[in-house]
Amino acid sequence: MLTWSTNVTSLRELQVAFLDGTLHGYPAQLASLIAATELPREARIAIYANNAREGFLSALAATFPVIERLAGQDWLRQTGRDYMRRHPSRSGNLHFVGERFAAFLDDTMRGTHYEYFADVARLEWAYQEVLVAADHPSFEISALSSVSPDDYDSLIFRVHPALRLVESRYPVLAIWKANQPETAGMTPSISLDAGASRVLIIRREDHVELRELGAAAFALLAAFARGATLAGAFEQAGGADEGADLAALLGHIVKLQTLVDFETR
Amino acid sequence: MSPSPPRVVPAQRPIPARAGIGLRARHHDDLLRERPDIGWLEAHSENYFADGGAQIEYLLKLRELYPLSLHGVGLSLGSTDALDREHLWRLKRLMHLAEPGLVSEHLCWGSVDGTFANDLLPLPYTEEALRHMIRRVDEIQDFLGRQLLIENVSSYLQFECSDIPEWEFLAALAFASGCGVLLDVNNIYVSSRNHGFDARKFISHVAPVGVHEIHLAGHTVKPLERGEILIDTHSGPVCDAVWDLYDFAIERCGRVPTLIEWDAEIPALDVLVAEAARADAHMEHQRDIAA
Repeated sequence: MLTWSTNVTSLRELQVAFLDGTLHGYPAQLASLIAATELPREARIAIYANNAREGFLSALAATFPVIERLAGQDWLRQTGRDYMRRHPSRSGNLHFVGERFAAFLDDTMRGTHYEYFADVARLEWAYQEVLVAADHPSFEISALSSVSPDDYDSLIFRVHPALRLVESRYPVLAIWKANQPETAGMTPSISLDAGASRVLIIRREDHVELRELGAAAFALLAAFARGATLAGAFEQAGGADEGADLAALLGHIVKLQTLVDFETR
Repeated sequence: MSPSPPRVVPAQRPIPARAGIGLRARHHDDLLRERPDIGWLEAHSENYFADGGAQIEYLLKLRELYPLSLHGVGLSLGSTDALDREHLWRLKRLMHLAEPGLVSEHLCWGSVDGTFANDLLPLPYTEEALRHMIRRVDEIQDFLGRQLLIENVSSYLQFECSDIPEWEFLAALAFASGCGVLLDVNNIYVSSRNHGFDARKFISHVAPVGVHEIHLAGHTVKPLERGEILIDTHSGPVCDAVWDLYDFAIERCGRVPTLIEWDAEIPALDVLVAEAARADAHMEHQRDIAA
């Protein structure tokens, strides 16, 4: 036979107090909620605090292996704890823990020698996103023959769902490539002044490809990704490189299988 | 991988009353190549919450070789926040793809006010929490259109306001919501040692309501200044005391699909397969005794 008693604390109040005390390190405020035993309550609460922290930090390290290699495990753990305080997990799926890390590094590293970390993190997050993005067959350029030349300007291309674009004033792709498990320690150091990087990250079947794009090709693809018409995208690409052969650029990014569909507005 | 032809989806395969192993990414290729003789595989649902990509491809290939079960760790079932509809949609979509024989989650909560601990936090075992859990399990079973199994978790503290024994809470939840029980024998052992209750009493009380799956795993003993605490780490083999408790459980529940969980310091596949064979041997032995 079950016996029920009146609770002094609602389930909601208990959950709010418990998570706050555990994640923010105030075990004392939880004392009245937790049954007394021979083991101190703090030791019991510490297990949950530790689980939450270690789960978060391991997920972060798994998401940003290049940052970890560049800055070291200790730095990522310390920075990860600051990040966790400001941006605790907002999902039951630890995959999303790294979603705001690049923006956090923008804020905290700006003006330092390490401000390029934010763009490296952006590249690594894009990589994680394309790993789990949808598949889509690429489209054949011959399909465009059905479009009347009068409608070319209003063509809207849809980019591959497993495609991301990352632009940086730093050579982030070279940094990323030099810090893969198979290359780490084998590449000469890279100068941060080596120039800007415009990276296409795309998954084809189960393989993620990272490729440097020229300024005009990047601008064209970025415009398509934003939903621009062909006329609008050509304008963007021409703005990025006045001498660009726009028709050849379009052929280039179609060949890279970055576009999956089109419509006319 | 080249574009796949239209896939002939095999019918949902029930999970046999044998031992299976937890599916981890590092074993994907080994499983496809070696096809070890194990009864089934259990995937953590959230690991396959993808719109596409290699993980999903592996899952679809493996489901053609083994019956699959989906085990969630992130739904935060007992939270007083609204249920995460996107999480549920993703689970439902994954179920459509994977056609699992069993779908399970935990008797726990993990988030409030939208902030997640990403851990399996214990509930206070009160009437309010029981009513809440019954409503939530009802809602989820309605949404998913099938029975959910609910697993007992390991815990390291008990709430002062708890006034229902955990085993009575779990049995009442199963009775009222129609969910099945996923009996984690290692979790019972860990919690019984941490809180000083009788693990056999837990099992005896829950067995009659319908145990559809059993979990076995390794734990870690953490020494403290005064005493020690057992932590559910899933980082080693099942200990002798848990095997004994497992014998007691299958004596009460009969032969039940049994999972070997080993999620940290993950060993080579053959170590897991050997641990699963050991669970199978315990079930065979139990059948011989019963006969």
